[in-house]
Amino acid sequence: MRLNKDKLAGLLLMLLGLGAVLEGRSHSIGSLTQMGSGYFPVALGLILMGIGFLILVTSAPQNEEKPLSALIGADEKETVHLSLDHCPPPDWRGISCIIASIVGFIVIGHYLGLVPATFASVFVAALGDRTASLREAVVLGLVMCALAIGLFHYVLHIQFPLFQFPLWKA
Amino acid sequence: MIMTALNDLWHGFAVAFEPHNLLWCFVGVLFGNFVGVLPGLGPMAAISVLLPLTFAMKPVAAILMLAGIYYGAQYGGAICSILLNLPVHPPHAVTCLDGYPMTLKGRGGAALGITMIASFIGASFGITEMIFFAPVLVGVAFKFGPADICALMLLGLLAGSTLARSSPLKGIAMTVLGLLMGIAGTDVNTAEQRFTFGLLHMADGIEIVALALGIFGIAEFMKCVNYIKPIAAKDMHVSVQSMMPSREELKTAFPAMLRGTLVGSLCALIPGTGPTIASFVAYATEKKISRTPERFGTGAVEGIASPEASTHSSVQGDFIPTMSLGIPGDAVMALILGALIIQGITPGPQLVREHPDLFWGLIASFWIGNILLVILNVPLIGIWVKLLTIPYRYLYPSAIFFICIGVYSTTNDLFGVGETLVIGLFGYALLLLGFHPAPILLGFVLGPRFEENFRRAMLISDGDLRVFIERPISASFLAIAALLLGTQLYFWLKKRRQPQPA
Repeated sequence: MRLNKDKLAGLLLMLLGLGAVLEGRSHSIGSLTQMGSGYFPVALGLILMGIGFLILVTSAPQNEEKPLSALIGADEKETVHLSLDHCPPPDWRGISCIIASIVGFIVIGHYLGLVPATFASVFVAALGDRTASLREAVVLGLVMCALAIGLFHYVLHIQFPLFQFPLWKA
Repeated sequence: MIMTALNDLWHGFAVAFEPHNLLWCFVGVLFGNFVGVLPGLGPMAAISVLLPLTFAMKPVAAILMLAGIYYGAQYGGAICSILLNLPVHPPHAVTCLDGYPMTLKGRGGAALGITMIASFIGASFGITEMIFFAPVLVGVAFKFGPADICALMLLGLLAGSTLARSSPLKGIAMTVLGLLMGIAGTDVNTAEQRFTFGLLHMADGIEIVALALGIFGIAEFMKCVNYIKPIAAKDMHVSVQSMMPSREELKTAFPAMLRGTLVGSLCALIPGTGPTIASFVAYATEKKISRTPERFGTGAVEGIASPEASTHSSVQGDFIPTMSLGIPGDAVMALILGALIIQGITPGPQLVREHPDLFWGLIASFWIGNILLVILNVPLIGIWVKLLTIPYRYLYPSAIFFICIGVYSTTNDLFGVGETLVIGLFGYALLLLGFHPAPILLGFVLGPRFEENFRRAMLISDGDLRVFIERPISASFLAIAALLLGTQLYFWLKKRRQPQPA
């Protein structure tokens, strides 16, 4: 059995469904008249497993849907990157930078405050683009910092200290 | 009936014209128009980003603004299609077919002008439809018992998930997943904690902002990063004068606009058929009834006027089931419904009676917003065209920051940001596997209400499932749902059997 997109999708759904069933079974299931809190999760989990199984067995290469650009006969090369319902292969640099950017926001935000977190997250995210330059990333980060201070701190009163120094406090 | 509706509408205008509401409506349509133009950002991402901001606002202002983003975004979407032949925004993809040839002929400005007129006509009709149709629907909906509501929700969920272009099975899977995510947290009946993974933060369930921003924000950025290329700004000058279509163009476009409007408003009544389907149907209809179908694809004005009018009329009509029955037809409507719930307003047929200022104020704001959009778009067209050239490498890092701070502000806790990232990664995995995760939101918003009504129906019927087919209302909903599912699966299987031409 060769693994294609659909087979993986079916397997994932069956796994998720199984998870829901197991979680549901840890609660009382009850009867149809008196449904316990586990009834619904188990039922939905079973449905999900069923659908996953159907997707798994009906998977075929021609299931791949055509991108929107093909439907309207536009030049695929020109529009493939923009047609919204067609997922291109992952761009690892971009994706890792996006993940790092959000993790950075959480960690730095927790220890150092809003301004460093803002700069770090925007700067790192900007580096995910292959055409980005260091200078542009720095400028973009600074602009967002100004926005964080001006708009979010002073106008919208977000409860997030601008700076904090945990080492000094300790 | 008509008089009371007009009377209520008059009251609605008074609400919508309150300076506070007017301001937020303006902000909504402007922001919507702005993100509607930008490639790689859609109304869903925009509404999710601004959702946290509305928590502190009054319900009426909040909903006016969020709705404004949605229909405002439709005004900007056609620009990219007409001037650049890029189908960035699905409801306007079909506008490329005749819009771009018109640009090549030097009539791009006129094409945009026709789009504006078509949009306004379509939207106006959609709003009128809502004024007269929604109260009727509400009257009927009051007769619904828990079993009927369940069946109606099931119909809405199935329609919303199977009428997408992908395989119906995958659509249903996403809805079921959404239902499961919707019931995570503390169970209202037993106070037991479900799917919380032992995390205290999860006791309140999954945050709708985190879910929406994860799916429509983070996952989309992961998909698009380094794939969206900057747009060259050459030959994209559109002056206000050039937007005036010629008398002949208007004469051919006008009947097409009316036909498109009709198609769109019909599509709006079928749950699950959003603006994208409406525009494709309108284009196909126009081509079929035209005496000169060979002109289509070479810059026929009808080919722009009809789908654009259809899109806008269906966008406005989308609000009908959402506001009158509390059943959203697509993910955007689910988000707006989520915003209502956050504001402490229970969606459903009682909404019109309990919150007339919200319901009629929203309808009145549609008129105001659409007029604002037409006024805005004519002088600002030059600016919108320039906006198209903002490179994606500036857009997404800024958007990520807005997402982080937006999610943080809902709970004043960084946990939500992490939740968003996890959901985003999961959403991206789903995208990679060929799913369209939008129906998740539909299931998520309806999940708790679905479970509650199902439990209630079962309690009343003493666990007898036959109640669903014994009650005529619920039986007819289920019949429609079964019909829908049957035809979908039939066509899908038929399509699969045929070897596709390479």
